[in-house]
Amino acid sequence: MSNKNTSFSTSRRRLLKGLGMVGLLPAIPTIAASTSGHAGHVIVVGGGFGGATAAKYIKRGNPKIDVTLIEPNSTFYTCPFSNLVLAGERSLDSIGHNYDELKNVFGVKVIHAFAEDIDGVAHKVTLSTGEVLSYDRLLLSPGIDMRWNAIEGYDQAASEKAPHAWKAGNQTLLLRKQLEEMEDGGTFVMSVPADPFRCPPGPYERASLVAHYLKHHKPRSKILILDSKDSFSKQGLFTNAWKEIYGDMIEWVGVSGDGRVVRVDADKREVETEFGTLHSASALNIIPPQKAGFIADRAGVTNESGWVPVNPNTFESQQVADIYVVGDATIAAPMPKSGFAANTQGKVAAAAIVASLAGITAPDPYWANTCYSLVNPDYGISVAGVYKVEDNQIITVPGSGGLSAADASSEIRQAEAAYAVGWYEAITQDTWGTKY
Amino acid sequence: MSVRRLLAAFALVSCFPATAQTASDWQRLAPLAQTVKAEEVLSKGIDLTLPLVAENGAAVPLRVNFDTSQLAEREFIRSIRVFSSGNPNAEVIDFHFEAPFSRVELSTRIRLSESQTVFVLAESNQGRQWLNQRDVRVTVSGCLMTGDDSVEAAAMNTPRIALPRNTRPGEAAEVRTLINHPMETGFRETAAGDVIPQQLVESLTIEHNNQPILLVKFHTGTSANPFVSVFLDETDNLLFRWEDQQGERVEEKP
Repeated sequence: MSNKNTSFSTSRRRLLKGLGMVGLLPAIPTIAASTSGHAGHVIVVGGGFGGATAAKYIKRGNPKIDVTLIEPNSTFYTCPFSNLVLAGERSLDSIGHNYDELKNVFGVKVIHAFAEDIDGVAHKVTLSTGEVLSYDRLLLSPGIDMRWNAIEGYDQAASEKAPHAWKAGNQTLLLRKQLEEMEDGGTFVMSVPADPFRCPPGPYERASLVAHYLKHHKPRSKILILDSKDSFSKQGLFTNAWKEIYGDMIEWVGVSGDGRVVRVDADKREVETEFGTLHSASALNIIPPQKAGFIADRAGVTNESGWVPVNPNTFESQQVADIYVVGDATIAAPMPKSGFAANTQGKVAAAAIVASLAGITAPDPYWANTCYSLVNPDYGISVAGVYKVEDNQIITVPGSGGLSAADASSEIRQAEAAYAVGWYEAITQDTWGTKY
Repeated sequence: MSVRRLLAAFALVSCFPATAQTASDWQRLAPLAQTVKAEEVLSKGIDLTLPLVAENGAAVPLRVNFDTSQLAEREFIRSIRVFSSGNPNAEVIDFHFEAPFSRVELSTRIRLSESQTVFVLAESNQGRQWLNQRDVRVTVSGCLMTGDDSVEAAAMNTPRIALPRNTRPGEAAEVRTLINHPMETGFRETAAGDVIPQQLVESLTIEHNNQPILLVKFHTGTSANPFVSVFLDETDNLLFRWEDQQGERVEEKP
């Protein structure tokens, strides 16, 4: 991409940022409050970016619809900004969000339990408490599950010793502890899966912020990224910034350099790659291959890929009627698996559900996404896109979005780092009503 | 529900408007049609595995699995060839077997320039042919823009071979190979608009006891740093030889 194009798309993106969250709302049909009678019952499974947003926007679209949110945890910790927790720059509490606004302001019934089974024909959800609930429409925002044993030796037990930290919370703290206990001069080894996986730039932001921590506390240490791909999100921007800020602390090995990890020994903190190279780690982070959260399987909405095909106009399942699925679990490419994408998909699905229960046609959807990454707390880079449906497929709106410029000044990098914080506060306020 | 299912099935098909293929569309792909000689093309026994959606068309994992129980006595697979309906050049990669393999299972990484249909054609030493196909939607994920368009030196380096750690006698074992090379297609241009000349690794030969057992031919549809995984019946006394278009050779023994 030429610099000329980059600066053009950057200014476009600024415009989008200026519009902020409000500009991203699809035109949700607002059903007059005077509508009489039962407006329907919607169950939302999963209280992350997709599910919490959908629950709220269904209520905003038609307060008469009964909405029940099923979410096991009373506090949701976001993957976005969890790399700052890992680097010791933020507390875990600061990325925790609760369901008070959904309950108290929007009248969503929140049940803290696991959804264990779904009968799409009978329209029923079975909870871990044994309770069985009926729905008119079901929205799943199940996130991801790890494909245990896709890498030999890496199962749930191993993830306690070599954390993935790809779901924020305890896993983040486990990996933080390994970093804190690591000796100066040790090696932080990270294994990255092939596409598709949650948050494409996430591993490289993580390497950056771990480097930021090590540079200030254990400067003789190294970071080794073993990748199952030969290219990655914002690669040029990341690698230039790594050289500039961290010298040769970060080494990245792609799949063609024997970067694909095929075996993990979590006890020894050792990994073996495709062509037999052994690497020892002082701190070991395995981000394994992933699939849609298990409840999607139970609902019968996943296909052979392990992910969920959806009707792009509504995010209703292609396989089971009246079940809508949003977020990382879906096949929504070119939209990435990101919290931002899940939030806008939640709004599109909410609009479609409100319209469907009212017996009217869903509005034309569009979506936006920006992935900010912090190379250090004062150095931000981003990639953005706007998406729409054409010929029954999601496409990137031509000319929309783009990458941060390759030759931007440090003032612009600093401004983007501030935008990243602004983005985080705006989207968590939009999703959970968290006040800042 | 059934109407909805039907609609859903229709929606799946219409996801490939530009390349909607019918069962006999291989006949319209000339390089493939010219290769099909058998009077009856079979489909049972040949599996082609590709992702439904590829987020990076530069390296799409492909696996071919042939069920050798479909073969008659003294019949063995002679060749397996992969074709693309949407690439500038239809040929992707060919495998020529110089000896019977008890397990015919191949993996590689291929390039797909757009959403399209990929075909695989297997042929036995008795002239029977099997064909299978898969539709792949290629879309670059929004977060996957790399901002990196570098041109690498086009010389083969760092050949790698991985033999299985534990082999059981009489059981075929997976052998993986890779060599670093950019596999310039000749279709790319520099920022200044100059065509980057084609530079390919042409072939990989695997020899066992000094006899060739497998010849792999690479084309522009093969990904950079060509990767091949095969199941071999014997893993001792192997030799791997890569050859590029300039006639340069790299030989490696595991």
